[in-house]
Amino acid sequence: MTNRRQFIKITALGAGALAIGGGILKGIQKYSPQEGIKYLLQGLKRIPTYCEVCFWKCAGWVYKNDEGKIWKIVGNEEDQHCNGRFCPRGTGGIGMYYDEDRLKTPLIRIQERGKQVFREASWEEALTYIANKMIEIGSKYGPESMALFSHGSGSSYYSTLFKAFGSANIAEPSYAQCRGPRDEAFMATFGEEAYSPEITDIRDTKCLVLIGSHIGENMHNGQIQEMSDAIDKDATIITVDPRFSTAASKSKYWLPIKPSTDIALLLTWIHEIIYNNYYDKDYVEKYCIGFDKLKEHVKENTPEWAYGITTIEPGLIRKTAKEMANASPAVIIHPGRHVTWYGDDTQRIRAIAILNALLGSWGRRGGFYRPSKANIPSYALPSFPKPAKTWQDAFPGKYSLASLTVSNVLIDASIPENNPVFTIKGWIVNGTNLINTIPNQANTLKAIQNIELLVVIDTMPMEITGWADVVLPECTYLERFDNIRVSPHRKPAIALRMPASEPMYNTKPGYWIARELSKKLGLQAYFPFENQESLLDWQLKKIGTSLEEMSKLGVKTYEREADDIYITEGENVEFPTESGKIELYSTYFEQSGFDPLPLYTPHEEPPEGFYRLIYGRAPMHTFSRTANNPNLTDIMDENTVWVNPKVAKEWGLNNDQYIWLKNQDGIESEFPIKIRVTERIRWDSVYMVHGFGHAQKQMKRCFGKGASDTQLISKVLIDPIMGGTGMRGNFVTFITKKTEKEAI
Amino acid sequence: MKEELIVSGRMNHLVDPQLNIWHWQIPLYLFLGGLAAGILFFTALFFINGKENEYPAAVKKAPVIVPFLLILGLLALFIDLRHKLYFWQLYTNIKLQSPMSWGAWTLMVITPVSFIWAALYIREFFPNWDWKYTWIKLLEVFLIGYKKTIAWIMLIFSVILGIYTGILLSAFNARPLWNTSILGPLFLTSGLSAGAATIMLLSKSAVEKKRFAQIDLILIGIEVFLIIHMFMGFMASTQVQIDAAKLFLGGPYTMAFWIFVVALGLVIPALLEFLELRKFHIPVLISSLLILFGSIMLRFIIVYAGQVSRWLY
Amino acid sequence: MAVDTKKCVGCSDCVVACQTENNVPIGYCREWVVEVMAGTYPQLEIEIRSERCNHCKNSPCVRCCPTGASHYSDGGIVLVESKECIGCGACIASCPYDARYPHPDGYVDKCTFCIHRVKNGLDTACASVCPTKCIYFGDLDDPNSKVSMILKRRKYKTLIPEAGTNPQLYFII
Ligand SMILES: Nc1nc2c(c(=O)[nH]1)N[C@H]1C(S)=C(S)[C@@H](COP(=O)(O)OP(=O)(O)OC[C@H]3O[C@@H](n4cnc5c(=O)[nH]c(N)nc54)[C@H](O)[C@@H]3O)O[C@H]1N2
Ligand SMILES: Nc1nc2c(c(=O)[nH]1)N[C@H]1C(S)=C(S)[C@@H](COP(=O)(O)OP(=O)(O)OC[C@H]3O[C@@H](n4cnc5c(=O)[nH]c(N)nc54)[C@H](O)[C@@H]3O)O[C@H]1N2
Ligand code: SF4
Ligand code: SF4
Ligand code: SF4
Ligand code: SF4
Ligand code: SF4
Ligand SMILES: [Mo]
Repeated sequence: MTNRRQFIKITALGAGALAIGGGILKGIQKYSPQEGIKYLLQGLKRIPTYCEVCFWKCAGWVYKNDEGKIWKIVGNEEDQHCNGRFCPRGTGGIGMYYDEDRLKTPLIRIQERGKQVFREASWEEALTYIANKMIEIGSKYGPESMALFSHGSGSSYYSTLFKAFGSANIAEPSYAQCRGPRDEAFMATFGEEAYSPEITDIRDTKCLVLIGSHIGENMHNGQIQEMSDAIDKDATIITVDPRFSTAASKSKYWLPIKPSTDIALLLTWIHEIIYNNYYDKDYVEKYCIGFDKLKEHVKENTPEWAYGITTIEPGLIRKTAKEMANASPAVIIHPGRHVTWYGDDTQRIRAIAILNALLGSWGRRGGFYRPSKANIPSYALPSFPKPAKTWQDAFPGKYSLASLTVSNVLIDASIPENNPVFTIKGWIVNGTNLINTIPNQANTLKAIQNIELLVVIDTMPMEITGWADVVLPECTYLERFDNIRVSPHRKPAIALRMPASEPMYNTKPGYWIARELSKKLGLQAYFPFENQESLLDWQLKKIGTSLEEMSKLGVKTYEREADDIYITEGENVEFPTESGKIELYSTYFEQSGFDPLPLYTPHEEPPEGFYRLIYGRAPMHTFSRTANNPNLTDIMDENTVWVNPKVAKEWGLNNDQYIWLKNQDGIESEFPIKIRVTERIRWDSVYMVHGFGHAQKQMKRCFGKGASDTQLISKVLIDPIMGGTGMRGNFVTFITKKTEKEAI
Repeated sequence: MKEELIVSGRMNHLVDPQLNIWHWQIPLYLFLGGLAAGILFFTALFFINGKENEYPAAVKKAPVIVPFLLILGLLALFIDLRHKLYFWQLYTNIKLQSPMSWGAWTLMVITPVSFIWAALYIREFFPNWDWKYTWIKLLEVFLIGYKKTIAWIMLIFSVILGIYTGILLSAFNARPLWNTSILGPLFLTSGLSAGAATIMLLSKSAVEKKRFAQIDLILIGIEVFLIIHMFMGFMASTQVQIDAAKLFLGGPYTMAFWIFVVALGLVIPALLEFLELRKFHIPVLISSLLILFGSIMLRFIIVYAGQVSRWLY
Repeated sequence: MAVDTKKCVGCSDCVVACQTENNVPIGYCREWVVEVMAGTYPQLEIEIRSERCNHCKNSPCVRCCPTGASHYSDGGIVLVESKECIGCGACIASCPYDARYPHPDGYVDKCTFCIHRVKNGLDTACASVCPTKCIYFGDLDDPNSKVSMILKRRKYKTLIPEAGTNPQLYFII
């Protein structure tokens, strides 16, 4: 398989994405008005940063008080990601810095794995230990036996290190546990992904359709801001969710769908839109292929058919289809973000992509805009050795369409019993709490027992650090430089992160860690810059600015080279798919042995006395990472399990009562969780917020608070197309008394 | 189903889920203030009526302990203040709309007066007492000449003090349980009754004891009437006040209120006093102590329960 | 100040921003978020309110303060002067909205309408951070201010009007 993503990147230049480079940049130089000037006059210091509390990467300012201590973080008004407003997690980001439970110094294990006995070590000793072990693994099994799991800003340094070392096994949980299915589905359809930040033009939409996306609880900043603008402009919001989400409560239509049946609804909407001639004929004719096959494919998918499956009234399906048509092309069927639900996720998102195509929203105002990204030159490094094997060779023929590394494959390949073609022997884990991030904990732990080296680079003593051989404490994002942020948006822009304080304790920035390790591995040539400042300054000067200037601006926004944010009337567009058209019918999927058009298949239903476990976000927390944050635990310190009043009555459960959950495989939640009796959830499901139930005692504020959904997700519904881990096929029941715990 | 929840914030245990601002100090302060007011009221009343010698406990003995009661009460209040160093701010401001303010000023007046009165009668307790300095002796002589005026001041301010102990609470519109005009008279009556009980305790004269038993019976009658009236008022009012009343009618404070305040603090002592008046021999100690106990409990329960009662919105 | 309950998502950003801006100690708060849900699945409705001191025009907290620490300041903003406050708690007991809390340093604290920012021409911290832009702050006496305009256009309510405090925090419904 050639790397499809690379192919797409090149062609994408011609179409949507616009690259900016070199000296042609004409920046708009403006200091942030309002807040900034006023405080600067008072002699207070502010330092630019971009937020690391989630992956939306809003740019902001860190203010210090008169004592020179970090006081608050506020958004940068120039920044398109946040428009001067941070979300609660970003605002509470200072808590990451002030958290007294932080990792403080390197640690080396002194007993077998799982027993948490560490001793403090110097950086020198810890890094030497790691380098020696890596060299040993490299020579015994080949460098491709090392795997990197990484998430967040630091990833690129360790990636470079890994590539230099000779391993391409570099995975982020944001692929197979998050956006992967969506990106593959959109690439198959439009030849482009939905990006991060998503290129949804919610600001100007007339109709926003949310399939599960719980914007408002999912606090991705730009989206929530624009959704609010859309409400002001009286846009129609349609929310499909088995739970009365906050977004549902703001919607004109809420479709309380039976979980796992979304594809049926989507096919029916497609049916309605095609057979009522609601679709954008010119657009479809000019830009799409496979319409006739699609039309034939959805012939039977009437609202009455869907009613039996989804429990959504046919009238409501018809009405909402009409609403979408009325708004077309200023309509968005939101692609979602965390979409690894039921294992047929790529196909579900394909249906979403198709629906958008039919309504002509891709590349249109109020639909999906065409992003533009600043291009930061990278310093020419020596070429990387070609790895003998990559993750795709581990289990031949599996997940052939995955364009990024599937993290769970790396885990499976660490277990010799699975007979991988080659076995992973060492992990470096940076900024991802695998224990709570990857479903089927038993599998992850089994893999950990089988590897010879586990290095964890983190800021907090999260669960994963407890299993490590070496723990390296990174300083928080408020104490370091990182790469220039260049995420695509309506206008190309760059943002700088600078340290607002010296690293506390004996912590170090990621760049320093990677570079020091590279020295010990004899790979220093790949890190030519002594420190990140000098690299950044070199890069910034290349594009006509400097570290000096950026430290005052924080964000620099450029004008687009051309006025091409939307497809213009009659424009000839070559889409970066193989056919150059929007592929309603995916020959690409067909060639690879997958359904070229999405199909509805029923999923397993909860057995008697069990309820489907669904989960989501609370606006004040990001997964595990904020669980111990003093500012954020102050506003939410545990999760609850939402139970419909009917179910509560049947079980005799009361509000605020603590119970344990037990799943279909007999796994009991380690900690009790509070019942929240609420009409907001269906009677066949229970709901909880992900990221709680921490088992790591060192995190004093969050230890044992609430329950962990991940622990109860032992059954994983793998997406055969790209390896995504569907996590919503698990069922739980209630227990009021904990049974004796078996040892893992 | 209606679900109302505080999504975030209000994590302050002193404010949520129920107000938890005033603890033992305030009810104790209110009790001691009420008791002092009750005693001084009778002292002044009987003195002004020229019954100084008929009712020695009321006029001469009981008032000697009043300064201690008031000091203790003020001490309790002081302990309750969270910003103690700024205590003096109370006396650089006169805020007529603030019961707390005029309570403080009332105490400012009545405390020294009670000291003077106690000083004049200190020989009731210590017959050989001698003021060491001549100027004090001169002052004593001077003040004795103004006893009547002092008594009038005491009479007026003791009523104000007694009512104040109730008004302090009833001024709080925000706490439906407190927000009733009956609290003033109720606390005044309860204070008077406690004062009467104390005088009975200290009295050695059968006449005096009997008179105060009679007074007390009347006061208890009034108290019971006021309590019934208060509940009727609540039940006839808005939902929040009905809810407030329900704290005592099936709610968490039901037992405490009906047993400690009504039964032990009012009905039983009333019965005992009644029997006593009917010449049954019952030690006065029991009924007096029960009345004092009931009077303390009334303040405690009203202060605590009031902080539970709140507006719904 | 007006809060649009139709846009507020209950994210509590306002609460966090208030806390950091005003150095409100962890464990205390000047504002909070209330969510009221009514109905039966799937006929449901939610109202979400970001609440704080109502800066009542007829405020019991000012009335009952024995020292004058609680007072009306410029534009009717109700403030507590910490150096005059004795921490008696009367104002806390007097507020029907439970908008005040005892600061661990002894005095009583509550929302100041961010007067230190407002004086500098800035929005309050909560209004300036709110991702849904649902908090409107401005001069109610000025008919052209953002708040006045929105209150003219939309339906609104105040909390516990029957308590007679004349609250100045409006909830757009
Ligand atoms: N506050 C906060 N915001 C975040 C994050 C965070 O940690 N905290 N994380 C960020 C990241 S990385 C991601 S990927 C996104 C994820 O955010 P989203 O993409 O919005 O995540 P979803 O899983 O789609 O949303 C969960 C919702 O799906 C509903 N649901 C469950 N089962 C079904 C079903 O079968 N059908 C339908 N239609 N709905 C269903 C649930 O009731 C819930 O409301 O959030 C981002 N934003
Ligand atoms: N059960 C379940 N599993 C899920 C999800 C779910 O909803 N439910 N969501 C999925 C989704 S959408 C995603 S995107 C993934 C997210 O998965 P992760 O990215 O693993 O999420 P976090 O739990 O936030 O873990 C981040 C780790 O990074 C650490 N960290 C934070 N800042 C820094 C830093 O500056 N440097 C370093 N080195 N470390 C840092 C934190 O302490 C924490 O240990 O999880 C997926 N897994
Ligand atoms: S959305 Fe919130 S947490 Fe994410 S980057 Fe922006 S401010 Fe930070
Ligand atoms: S920040 Fe805005 S949206 Fe969030 S809770 Fe506060 S008022 Fe509501
Ligand atoms: S809300 Fe409470 S604290 Fe604020 S002015 Fe009104 S009564 Fe006073
Ligand atoms: S606590 Fe302070 S502000 Fe409140 S009433 Fe007492 S003195 Fe006034
Ligand atoms: S106006 Fe200022 S003090 Fe008041 S709640 Fe908002 S942020 Fe807090
Ligand atoms: Mo994600």
